[in-house]
Amino acid sequence: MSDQRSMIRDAMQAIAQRKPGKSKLVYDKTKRTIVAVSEGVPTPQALNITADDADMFGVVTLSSGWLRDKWLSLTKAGSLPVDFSSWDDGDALTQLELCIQGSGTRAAAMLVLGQPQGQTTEGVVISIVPTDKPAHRSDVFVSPDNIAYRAELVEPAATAGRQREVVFADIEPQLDLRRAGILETTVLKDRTVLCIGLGTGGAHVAVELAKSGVGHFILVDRDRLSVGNVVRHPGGISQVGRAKVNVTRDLILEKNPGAQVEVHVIGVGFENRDVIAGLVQASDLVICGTDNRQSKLLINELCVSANKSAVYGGAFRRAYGGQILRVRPKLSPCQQCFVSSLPDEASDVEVSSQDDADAIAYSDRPVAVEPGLSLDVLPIATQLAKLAMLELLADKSSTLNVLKRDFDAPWYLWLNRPEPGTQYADMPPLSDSSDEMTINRWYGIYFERDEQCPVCGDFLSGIAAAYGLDATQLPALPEKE
Amino acid sequence: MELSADFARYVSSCEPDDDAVKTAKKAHEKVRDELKTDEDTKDAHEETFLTGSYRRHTAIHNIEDVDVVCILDLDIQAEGSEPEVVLTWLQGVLDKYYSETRPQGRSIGISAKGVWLDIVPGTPVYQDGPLWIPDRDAKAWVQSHPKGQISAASEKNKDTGGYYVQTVKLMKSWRDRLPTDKSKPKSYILETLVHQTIGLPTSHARAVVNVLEGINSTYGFYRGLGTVPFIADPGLGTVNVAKRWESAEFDAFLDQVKAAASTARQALNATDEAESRKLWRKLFGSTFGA
Repeated sequence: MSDQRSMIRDAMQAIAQRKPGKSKLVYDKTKRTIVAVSEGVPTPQALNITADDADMFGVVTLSSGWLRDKWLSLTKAGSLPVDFSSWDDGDALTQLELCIQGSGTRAAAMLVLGQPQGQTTEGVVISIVPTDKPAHRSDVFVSPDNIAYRAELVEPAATAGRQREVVFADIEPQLDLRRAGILETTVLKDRTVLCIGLGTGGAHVAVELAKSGVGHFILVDRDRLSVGNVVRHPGGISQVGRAKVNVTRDLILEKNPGAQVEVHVIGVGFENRDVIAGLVQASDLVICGTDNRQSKLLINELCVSANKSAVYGGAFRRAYGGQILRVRPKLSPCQQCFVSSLPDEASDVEVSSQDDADAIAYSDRPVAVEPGLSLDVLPIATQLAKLAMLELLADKSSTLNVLKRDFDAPWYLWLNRPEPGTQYADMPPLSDSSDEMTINRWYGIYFERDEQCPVCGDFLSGIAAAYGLDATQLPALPEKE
Repeated sequence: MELSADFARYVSSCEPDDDAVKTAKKAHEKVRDELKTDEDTKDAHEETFLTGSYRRHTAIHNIEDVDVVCILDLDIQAEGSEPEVVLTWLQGVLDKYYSETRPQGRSIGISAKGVWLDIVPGTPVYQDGPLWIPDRDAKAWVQSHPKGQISAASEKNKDTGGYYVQTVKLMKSWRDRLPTDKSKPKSYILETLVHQTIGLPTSHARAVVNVLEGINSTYGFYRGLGTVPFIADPGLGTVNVAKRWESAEFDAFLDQVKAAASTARQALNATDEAESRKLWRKLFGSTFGA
């Protein structure tokens, strides 16, 4: 291989200098790349392994970060034990340090620097040997002293003949590579998002933000995952009974292992007002996925007081539609302005837990819990996540900034189906018409701030004007934090 | 006044001359045939197509260069597919046919009897979608969407009843007359700005006013902020065509736009033909309406 690299360099030099060289560059059809061959020698036919063939192999995944940390021990002792989670009947092995949730089946292995000495009869041995492959490849590990290594698997007799490649998970660089070109990869790492309410919508938003590279999360929810939640929530049946904040934390860490996640199993009510206020203060953005008006209004008051932007999302009854409200304190209408100005639409809230259903029942008649399906709620969650991203990116450089002119309304209405009994029941079928509302569309809706809003406006002047009083004679309102 | 006849004659005078078009056609057909049949490229070759202002019909006067994209069957993750290696390999192939070849950032330049061709290797991100293009300086494959640029220009031209292409030519001609190089944006940036601001004009004059006033109202806010906004490529929205535009140059251009927008508006609103023509000449020179 080292010959191949130096031959490529020779050939490139020859082309640059326009002089014949010992090597020439040719296209290798089997590898779909450029290789160097000696001038006058026919192109070698490489082993024709296609991408499809490679998928037939199993994979052993080792953490680059872990190996870098342990490098001194390995070079001193010559070998290191390493534990794997074993998947697919042992076809895939993933180092335990990389597993937030393991498979339940463990496999022990030994990492050996150089070729293993003597006969190995049982257990997996992974031999680490120098290589001249390019350092960016996933099957190459670069040691702290900047030498490239590859890993070879020495299988025990029982599994001899099984083909498996060893790859290294260099987590941050490999994840960042997928975000590059869309976001500056470091932009979101120092941002803190407070997610309140981790039902289906809230949990999906949190996970999407983790995938985008948000580095700090504070999660708040009082509930545990129930069997009924599983049809919509990203947490599955094996997570039933766990607090939703813990389920969501693990989902976040599966997608962004470097994230810092703080969890609070508490409800949002006046009894926890001070705690929530402290969490709001510590965050850059608040995502509200709670499904009752009281909690939203409390969060709104705390966010406006702390001058923190917040995004509120929710589905209507049976998720025939949904809405997102984005509140930038003093710059846009707040949740209180919204409730005051749009009472009919704002009251069409989803009820997704039995406790809330019981709480709002004003008679003995049971109130049905009315969740939509996951595919009804996810459009709202993904749109909310996108709005949250735009808020977090603020003035940072990102290709997503092209969306800013599309997302400048305070309120976004999602129409999912023309539910009988609603004002959307007689809506025309989906068409390419742009001058009428149809289902399966988002609508950005503009409305004004209430200048006399009790939360974000001058409430006293409003009261004084309404009752013909002198505002200066009214007692002052308590100071907001 | 709209002075439609004057504008039509002026646009016509901006068109590349027939000889330049013939030379360019002969040159690009030859190199495309060579890439398709050459022993060293035929296995890798999938398709070549024209791109750039020549293909989008927005070139003016002399055709300075013709861009040819050569789509190759490459695994860009594979060893040997590094941008530098692929570009050098391509240069080696072209050296067989051309005495003057030049390695460039994302292409190989070749001089072919009076016309300069830029041969850009690429490999599809997905079928008929954006391409991975080698960037020698960034040492990476970067995305670009030449076919998206072509279809965006073609659709815009259709939507504007043919005014788009002619307005780009008018704006390039105006740009070329600006007093300092600092204030002259690259052609594709200018073309993108026309794409964003042309609206639905009913005459050349209104199209020019739409563009100048549109640029001023959309981007005037940024003047003096020391920042250049993201200007999305109509062919691929995630690409910022203004990425390499320096803020001082951007500001200098906006200064020119502001003054020109005012002149163009006065020229359009003028009720006296001679006065209107005099004002348009401030933008397009003494040959306008001559």
